[in-house]
Amino acid sequence: MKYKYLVIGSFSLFPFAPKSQNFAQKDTVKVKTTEIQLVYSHYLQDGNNSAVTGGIGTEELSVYGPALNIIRSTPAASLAFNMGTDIITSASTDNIDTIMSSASRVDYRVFSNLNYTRNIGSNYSVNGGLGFSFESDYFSIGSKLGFSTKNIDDSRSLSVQFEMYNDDLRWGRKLGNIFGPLNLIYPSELRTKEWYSVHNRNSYNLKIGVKQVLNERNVLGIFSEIIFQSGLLATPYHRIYFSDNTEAVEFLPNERLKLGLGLKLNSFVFGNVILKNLVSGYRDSFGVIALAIENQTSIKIKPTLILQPHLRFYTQKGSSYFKPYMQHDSNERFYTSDYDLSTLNTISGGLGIKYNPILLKNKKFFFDAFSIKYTFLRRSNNLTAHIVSTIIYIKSIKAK
Amino acid sequence: MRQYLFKIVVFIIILLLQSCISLKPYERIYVNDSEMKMGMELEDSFRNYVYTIREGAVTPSSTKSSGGCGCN
Repeated sequence: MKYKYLVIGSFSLFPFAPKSQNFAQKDTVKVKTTEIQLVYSHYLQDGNNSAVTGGIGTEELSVYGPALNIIRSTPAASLAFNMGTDIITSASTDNIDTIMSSASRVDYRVFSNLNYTRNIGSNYSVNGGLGFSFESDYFSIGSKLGFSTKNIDDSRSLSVQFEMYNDDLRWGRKLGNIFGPLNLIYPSELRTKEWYSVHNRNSYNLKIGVKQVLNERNVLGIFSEIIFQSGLLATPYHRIYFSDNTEAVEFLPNERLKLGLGLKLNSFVFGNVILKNLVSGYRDSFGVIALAIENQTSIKIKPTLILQPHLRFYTQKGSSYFKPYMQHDSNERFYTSDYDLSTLNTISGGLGIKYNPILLKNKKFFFDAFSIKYTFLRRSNNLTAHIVSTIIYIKSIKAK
Repeated sequence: MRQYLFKIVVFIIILLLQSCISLKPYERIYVNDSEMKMGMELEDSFRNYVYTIREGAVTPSSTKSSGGCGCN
């Protein structure tokens, strides 16, 4: 009799028995993130080897560069929009005219880009982007397409990116009149003839990057870049003064192949110190061979405050097409007095501060981080530059 | 000299890749740190743009958002 009640009672409790997890009916939360990045970059430069005046003359330059980035992302995709302007005050560009004409002294570079990334499964993603930039002396349209893949535990990843830039180097575009009459502009005393038959420059970049986690504290990155350029690779308003006292504009081959390879090792060495070391090599068909060694150290003073001292050495064997002021022979086929293509060494270094407070995260938009980074640069031909970048990060996270 | 340099670089890469391991989730605390990201930080974007203009070379892995000459 007792056994009968026990069996009936047991069956009556079945509805209250714990159930196994039903993964098919699992609730999912979709998170949408919007990041707004307010960027301001400031650049001050001084030197005395301007290519506009044939390798002599001031290179004084100031750039004020505000920009805005907006990134909207979901677990499946992200859309990034970027726009900004560089307000350029250039003493060397002012010397294109023999008379100091303040009209060319202040210039603007305006740029904008739109990039879309789509995740395919959990291990693959594809991306594409379009953009443009224009300044008084060029108009550039850029496009890119790429994909990346990673293994299940994200210890190894591969990314491949193809980029194309189509530049028109005719002068005349400015804010409010970007479709105005366009011509290649030569130094004022050399406008008696057309020096070049083309006004376009096309660049094709192939970038391949591999990331590999080596162990619990080290990550290695290998990056390679192949760039092919064709078209007008010289700058029309760069003067050349030959040894026989004649004058011309810069002339360079109409094709250039650039090869770059970089190795980056990020190491969480101890406690709160992270070392990021980069070694990169480069060579191109103009005869430039270069090596750069760079270190950036992140020191976490507190979880919310990071100091980032950085140092970089760069050495370059110059192009055979380069010679200083009045050193070129007028019978040479190609010639430039642009010191960016000369044999040189550069040392640069500075300090960055990143502040990332954890507060106000219950608001619709919250202040996520602030960073400021200063770099001083000195080149072996006495060109000096100060670079400051500041960024305010604002974020919004919505869960559905 | 170049051949020796190339061999040394290849040797270093092979040596580093020898220690590749698959980490368990609880072992990823350091490699997942935001400062350990391999890509270029936004703070370095403008600085690298300056390098591409003021130097003959291009830094691999740098971001370049537009064409143009930067001839000033």
